[in-house]
Amino acid sequence: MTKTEVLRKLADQLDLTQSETEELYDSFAEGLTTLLANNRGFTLPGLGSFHSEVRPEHKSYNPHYEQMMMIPPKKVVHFSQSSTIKEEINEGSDE
Amino acid sequence: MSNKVTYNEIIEALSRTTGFSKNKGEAFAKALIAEIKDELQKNGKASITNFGSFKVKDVAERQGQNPQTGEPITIPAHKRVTFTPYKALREEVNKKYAHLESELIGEKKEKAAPVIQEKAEAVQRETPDVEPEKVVEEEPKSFHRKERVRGNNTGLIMVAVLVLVIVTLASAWFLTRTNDTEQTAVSEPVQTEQQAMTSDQPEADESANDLDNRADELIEEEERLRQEEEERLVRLEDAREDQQPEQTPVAQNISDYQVQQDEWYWVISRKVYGKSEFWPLIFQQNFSKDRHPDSLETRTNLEVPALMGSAENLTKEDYKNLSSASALVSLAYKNFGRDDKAEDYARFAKKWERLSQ
Repeated sequence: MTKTEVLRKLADQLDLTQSETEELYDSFAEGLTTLLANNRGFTLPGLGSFHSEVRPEHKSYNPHYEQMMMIPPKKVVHFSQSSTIKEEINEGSDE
Repeated sequence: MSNKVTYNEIIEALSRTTGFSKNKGEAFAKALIAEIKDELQKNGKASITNFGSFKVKDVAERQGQNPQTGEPITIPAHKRVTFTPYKALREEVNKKYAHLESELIGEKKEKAAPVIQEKAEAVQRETPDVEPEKVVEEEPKSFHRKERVRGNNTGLIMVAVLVLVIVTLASAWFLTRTNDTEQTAVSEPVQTEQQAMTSDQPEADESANDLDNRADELIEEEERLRQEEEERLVRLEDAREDQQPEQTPVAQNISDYQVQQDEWYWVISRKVYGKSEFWPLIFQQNFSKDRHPDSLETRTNLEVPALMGSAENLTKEDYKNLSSASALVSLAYKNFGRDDKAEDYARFAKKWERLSQ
C-alpha cells in the first residue's frame, strides 16, 4: 500500500482533506524522527516501542577483505514489538 | 525510563506543529497505527514513509533455556514484527557518528593463499617485506602466528644468502674475465711477434673462443646455482609446511563423557568445548551408538573428540571435521523427516567447509 492510498483512506475516516492528512502524516513521521535523533524513546500503543542507542565500536570479520575490521560506533534505532501485536500475529498463523 | 516520551506528549506535539486539535491528532495517530496493524495482518508488511517499514518475519523453532532454572526448552516456531528504519531516519539518528569509517586491523584470520603469495613476493622483492613483518612481530596473537613469523624470517635469511651468492659469483666472474682479457691483451702482442716464427694464429682464435666458452659456462653455472638455491628454498618451505600439523600433535584425543539428566548434544558441547555449535563433532564421534540427533539417553557414555585448536581459534582440520559432522547431522535429520533442520545443517556444513579452505 502506498502513502497516497493510506492518506486517502485516513482522510475518509477522519473527515479531513487529503492535504491536511498529509500534513499530519509528515509532521508525525518527522516528530518521531526528531525524538529518536535526540535520544528519546517512545511507544506507539498497540504497535511497539522505539528507542535509539549507541552500538559500541567492535571488531568484525569482513568477508570481502578476508580480514578483521574495526567497526566504529554507530547510533541505531531499536524496535521491540508490543505484546498485543505479537499475540494478534501469531493467532492469525494458527487459524 | 526518564528519556521516554509518552504517547500523550507525542499527540500534543503533533497538534502544536500542525495546528489541529488534540482530538484530531489523536484520532489520526490511532487511525494510522490501526492501519499499519491491519496491513501487517493482511500483507505481512507496512511502512510509514520517511520513518521506517515493518515486516512480519517467521522465526524457526529453536532450543532455548529457561533463564531461571537453566532447563532446556523448545521455543516453537512463531512470527514477529521487525522494523527497518528508512535511510532518512538512519542518517538523522547516526548524524553524530556519520564521519567514522571502519578500518582494517592487521590480518588476524589466516588464509592459505595470501600466505603463499606473501612468501613468493618476499622472494621477488627482498627489502619491502621487512616493514609489515615488524608489524606482525609486535602483536604475536598465537602460537601459530609466531611460527609463521619465524618461517618468514628464515625465508628472508635464505633470500639474503641467495643474493650474497649471486653477488660473489658475479664479482668472481667479472674478475676472472678482466684477468683473462688482460692476459690475452698481454699475450696477443707476444703472439704477433711469434707469428713470424710460428704461424699459430688459429691458437689465438682458439683462446678467444675459449674465453667466450668460459664466460658462457660461468653464466650457466650461476644460473644453475640460483636454480638450486630456489629449489632448496621451495623444499625448505614444503618441509616446514609438512611439519606444522605434526607440531600440533594430532589432537584426536578422545575423552569420555557421561550424559546427565536432560542433556543434549549442544549442552554437552558447551560444557566440553565452551561453544554449543560444535555439537555435531560429538554426534559424529558417537554415530554408531546413537542415531537421532535430538534424543540422548541419560547415563550413556559419549566419546568426545578434542579440538585441534582452541574454541576461539579453530584450525583448518577442525573446520573440516565440523563440516563433515554437520553434513552427517543433516543426513540424520533428513532420515527422521526433519527437512528444515537438515537444510540448516547442510548450510552450516557449507559454511564450515568454506572456512576450512
